[in-house]
This record gives sequence, structure tokens and C-alpha cells, in this order.
Amino acid sequence: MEFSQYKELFIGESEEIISSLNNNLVNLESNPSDLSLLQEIFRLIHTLKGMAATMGYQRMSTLAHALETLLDVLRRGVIEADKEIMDKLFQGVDKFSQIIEVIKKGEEESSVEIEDLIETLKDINVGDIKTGIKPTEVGGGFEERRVLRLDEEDRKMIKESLEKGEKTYQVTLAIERESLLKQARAFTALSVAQDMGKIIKPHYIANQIKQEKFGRLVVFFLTSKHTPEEIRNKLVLVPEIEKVDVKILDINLLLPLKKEKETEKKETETLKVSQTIRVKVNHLDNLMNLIGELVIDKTRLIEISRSLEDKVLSDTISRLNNLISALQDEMIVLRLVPLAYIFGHFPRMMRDIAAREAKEIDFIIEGEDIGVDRTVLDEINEPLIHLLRNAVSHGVESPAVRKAKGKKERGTIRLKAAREKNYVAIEVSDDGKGINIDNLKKVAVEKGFFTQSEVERMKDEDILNVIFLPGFSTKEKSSFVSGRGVGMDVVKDKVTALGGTVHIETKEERGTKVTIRLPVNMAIIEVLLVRVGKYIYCLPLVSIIEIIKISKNEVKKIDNTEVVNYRGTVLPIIRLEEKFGAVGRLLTSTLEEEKETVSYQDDGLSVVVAESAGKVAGLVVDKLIGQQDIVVKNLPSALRKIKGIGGATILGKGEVVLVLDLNSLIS
Amino acid sequence: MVKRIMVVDDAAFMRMTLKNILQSGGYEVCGEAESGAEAVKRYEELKPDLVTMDIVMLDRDGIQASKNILEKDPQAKILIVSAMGQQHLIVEAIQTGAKGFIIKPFNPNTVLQEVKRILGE
Repeated sequence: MEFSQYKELFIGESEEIISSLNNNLVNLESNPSDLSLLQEIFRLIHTLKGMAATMGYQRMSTLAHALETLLDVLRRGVIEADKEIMDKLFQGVDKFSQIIEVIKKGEEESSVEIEDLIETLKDINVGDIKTGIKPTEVGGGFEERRVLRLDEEDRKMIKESLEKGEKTYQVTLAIERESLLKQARAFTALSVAQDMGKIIKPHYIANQIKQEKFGRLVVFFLTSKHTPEEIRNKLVLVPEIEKVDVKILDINLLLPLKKEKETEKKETETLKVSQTIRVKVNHLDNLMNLIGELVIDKTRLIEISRSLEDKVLSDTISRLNNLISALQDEMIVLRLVPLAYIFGHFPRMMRDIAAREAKEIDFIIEGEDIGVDRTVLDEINEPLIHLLRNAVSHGVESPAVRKAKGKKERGTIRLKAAREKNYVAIEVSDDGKGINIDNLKKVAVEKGFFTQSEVERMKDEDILNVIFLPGFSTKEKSSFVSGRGVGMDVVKDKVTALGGTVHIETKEERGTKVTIRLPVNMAIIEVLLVRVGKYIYCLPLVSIIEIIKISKNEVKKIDNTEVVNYRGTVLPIIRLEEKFGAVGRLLTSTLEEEKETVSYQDDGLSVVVAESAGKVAGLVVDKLIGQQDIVVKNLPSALRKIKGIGGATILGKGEVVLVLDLNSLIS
Repeated sequence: MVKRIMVVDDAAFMRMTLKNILQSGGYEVCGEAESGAEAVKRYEELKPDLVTMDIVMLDRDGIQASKNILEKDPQAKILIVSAMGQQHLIVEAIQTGAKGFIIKPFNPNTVLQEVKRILGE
């Protein structure tokens, strides 16, 4: 059977599972006894195992099997996921990622080494001494692991035995690896223990052992009048018992069992939700392009029908128009992918960065269900990673420093997405040290971005934007995670390329917040149509603040730059005709030249005030035509490098007009 | 005082092997039985300190015999003797009250250690 056709689906689904695994593991780390989490992780690994086996990825399914075995021990409550187990689980998931990467490249999965991990997993499954447990020391070892699932009756029994002056012990036995009859050995040891006291939930323990999966680790509670030494000495004598640990149980560790029902309910819920089909992205892109063409033709059709003034035609077209609009809306929704798709990778990443930087953080995600266009999603991942890394390494202080400042030792980093009209605002905020404005000014002067006097006149908000300039970094040493010579300028470039904006706010000692605003839909945007000279240009509405009318003699010249006084500030003026006259002609020369000759009527100037990344400029236009939804088409590569031009579109009458890239134009 | 042990096995060869091991360890083999029913009967007569009980005999009654002995004497110390592959039977016997088990073929040291442990020496 030829499996290659399924490969893509396999990879996509595996990646989703891996991402989901990472999140659940991060949650498990803070709630190690959460049964529903354990069930979910087990289920995910089990699914992955089945998929990998079906595809013939032997190593992947072997590893999944080993992890599944460990998960089964965990979810049955025999041991609890301690740091070491968590590390192994994370390592396992990382191996899955590696294998998927290798498979993607079309290489053999055998290039990913999994044997060592599987060996150590086996050791955990059976509670081997190599895993840092020192069972021979009474009271030492097995620190983090405890038997769970004690009910009220058991607690009562423990309480009664305490009242009788007995003690409750947690007994952990490791049976020799070579033992051929491990279950029988385990029962022998249990019977020895039973002679010295009372085992809590003996039937439960017996069932655990009878299940073949129990490995070679037996954990149980024993109430007894004997000392730990006495108990241990008896148990050690049982043949093939390798190690014994007896320690007095901390009654507070006994956690009540969570109800399994909740988990079941959850599972059926997820089944309902997953009524989806998978579609290749390029099909979506093609569909989007086709609808784009349709929108263009529709606009032309409307123009034609207007000139013909035929009632039936215009009715039909109006209906067609509605249908196309509905189609367009549906298409936009279809292309929306929840931010969870990328946000999902972050908890794990943040955990790793925080661990590496020895920071303690609570990472909170909000609004991950908000959808954005696929293109946006792909492009925004990297900038967000950068911002999040910054928040950990440059924002949140080390626990000791935070404590000294009187802050909570754990910092909070928040990633929050919210829908604002046609935009999605994504905030990355931290409660760390913030940015020291004076320091920033100093560095800005040192690096020659501004002179001392300029800096002194600048407002705090303006100074903050220095961070977005290429080559600016206040961090002298490049750190492993955040340094790397690239900085906020990369973030800004990416975001502005998407037609979005970046905004930064900071309060010293209180934290920093970076907000990215992105258009929900990339391909169809709202523009202001303006005429400059003979030609029409599209200005994306996103960046436009307002349109003002000024008189020609208000324009002053400062250092060769034309400026006007705009609400008390100096507004640089950009004359589009001077900038693009030639380019405009180049593209539109084939088109009808019937346009009315431009009349510079009065001495008034229409100025479109636009903003990008904190910079404001006025664009002088001759005529404002109107507002319209357009489909942006990419320019051929030869024209793509022209600064200030973002693309082109076709208007109703078939004219090709340029869409300006206000971001590069203004900055 | 020398501890007295009764050996139960349906194969004379196995009884002899065990007997030799036990005697080499300084124990007295006070009696033998070749079936479960016989073992129960002789236990009452001999009152041995320990019984080695073959779990699978002709009449497959090693477990039943252990149960019967323990009913009459809850303090009885029974050491199960089994071949490989009988794990569920061993588990059952231990849950019934047997104190331990040894596996054929015997390692003399293992047998003696286990006997010693069960006798609490």
C-alpha cells in the first residue's frame, strides 16, 4: 500500500498532537495529580502511537509505547510525575518533534536516536535506583512520589492507627530486573508486610500487581507498630527484592481522588468539536485568489450595468453582488486559523526559556481562540517568539532580585489576543523591571541615533521607538535566547510588512507591554482611493489618521523637508507625485488616458495624515475618490523592491492601480 | 533445636533433591508426602516447622492442601515449590497464606535462604 499520500496528513496531525502534548505537560507540571490531564496525555500519546505504527514509523511508535507505559503508571496513581519524570516526558515529546522533522525532510526516522531515552524510561517505569532514588536509606528517596487515590475510609483507617500509636509508612519496593516471577515476588513481599501491619487498599495494590504492566516497582501504604528499620529488614530478606524504602508518610500528601467521570465527559466533548476536515493550504490560497478575481470582475460588472441602466441586469447584479460578498465573508472565515495554533507552542517554550534563565514565571495566555488569516499566522509566530523571549530574559527579574524589590518571586508574562474591529491586537506584557528611559536615551546618543539635545527634547513615547531601529540593542552581551544580534527592528519589520503596527509601553519597575495590531484579513483590504496627478493610488485605511485641508502657503521648509504645522506638531509633507510620478506612468501607460486634466484649482492642498510605527506624515494628494475594498495583488519581483509600493489592484473599470505601502513611505 | 521440615512433592526425584538440600543446610526432613491429601493428614501428625509444597501435583491440589493446612493451623509456614510459568498459581497460593516460593530447578542457596527467612532465623 502506498502511504505517501497520507504522509502530509500524518505530519500535520502529529504536529498538532505534539503541540497539545507540550501544553498538557506544562499544565501537568503544576498539577501533577490531575487525573484528567494524565488521561488526556495518555490518550494523545496512544493516538500518536497508533498513527506512527500505521505509517510504519517503528521508532516513533516504540517511543510512544514506552511513554504510554509510563503514563499508564502515572494515571493509575502508583507514582506521581516528579521533576525527573516531567523531564523525561518532555524529552520524549521533543524526540517526536525531531522524528517528524526528519520525516518531513524525507529522511529515515532511524537517524533520530531514541534508545537511551527508552532505557531511562524503563527505569522510571520500574522505579530504578538509577533515577536518583536511594531506597536503602530509611526515610530518604522516593521523595516526590506517592501513592494517590486514598478515599475517606482509608484516611479514617490511617487516623485510627495513628491514635493507637502506630505509624503509617509509604513502602516502596524494587524487584530485581532479572526476576522471572515479579508478580509472585511482589505478593510474597506484600504478605510479609501484611504480617507486620495493615496494608491500605490491599485489593487495589493486588490488582495493580496483577496487571502485567506494573513493572518492578511496588508502592503501598502500611500502618504498623513496627519501626521503619524493622519493616525494611524483613522485606529485604524476600528473594529478588532489590531495594526497599520505608518512610513515614506525611498525611498531608494524601490527595483525594478526582472523579473520573469528569474526564469521560471531557472526552465526548472533544469528539464533538473535532467535526472538521483538513484542506491543503494552497487550495485555500487558490480559492482566495479566485474570489479575488471574482470581486474585481464584479466591480467591473457593476460599472457596466450602471452605464446600461437596465433594471433586470442591475437587479441580477445586485443579487450577484450580495452572493459574492457572502462568499467573500465565508472565505475569510475559512482562512481564519485560531491563534491557538501558534500560541499552543509557547507554554513549553516559555517553560524552557525560564528554566534556562533561572527565572520563575507564570505564563498566561488569553484569547487563543481568536482567528487570524493563515498568512498572518505564519508570519507572526517569529515576532511573538522574540517578544516573549525578551519578556523572560530582559523583562522579568530573577526570583532573588524580585524578592529584594518586594515583588512576587514568580513573574507574570501575559500573552493576550483580542479582536478590535478588523484588527487583532496581540499584547505581550510582563511585570518585570520595565525599560529605563534615561538609560535608553544614553544608549541612543552613544550609538549615534540622536544627539544629546534631540534626546532631551524627545517625549518618552518617542524615545521608546528607538528600540525598533535597526542595530539598536540595550543589551550589551547577546544572551543565548534573546540576543543573537536581531532585535525589535525585526519584529517591527515583520509586523509592518503584514500591514500591522507595533506599540510599546513601559513603566519602570512595573513592566513592559508590547502591542501588535494586525489586520484580520490579508488579501482584501480597505483603502482610500486618491488621485495624484493623472493616477489613482490606494492608501490602506489602517494607517490613515485623518484628512486635512491646508493652504499652500502653510507649507514651510526645514532642512529641505517640507513641513506643516499639524495640531501644534511638525508634520513632514510627502508629495506623492514627486515620489511616484514615473512609477505610476510605467504601470498605467497602457490604460485609457481619457482622465480629465488635473486642475490645481485653488491654492488648497488635500493632505492625508498617516501614521506608521509612531511616525506621522502628511501625503499630498490632488483628489480624494473614495473608500473601497480591494484585492491586493503582488507586484512582479522586478517591481517589488520599489520603496513605498506594496502591491497593485484592479479597479472596476479595469485600471491597474498601485497600493502604497505607507509604512516604508513614512519611515 | 533443629527445625523440622516436611517435603510435599509427587515426584520422588524432587523430594530427594530437596531433602538433600535441606539436610545440607542443617534441617531435619521429618516427613514426606506425595499428594495434597496425604500432606494435610501428615501435617497434623508431624506438626513440622515448615512445609515445602509442590504446587502442581497429580491431583493439582497443592493450593487446596495449603488452604486446608492453614485452616487448621493459621501459623503454618508453607513454602511453595513451583516450576516456571505457574505465576498465577503462586500468586494464588501466597494470597492464601503461603510465605514464599522457590522455583525449579533449585539453587541450593536460594532454597536455604528462603527457608531461613520464613522460619525467621
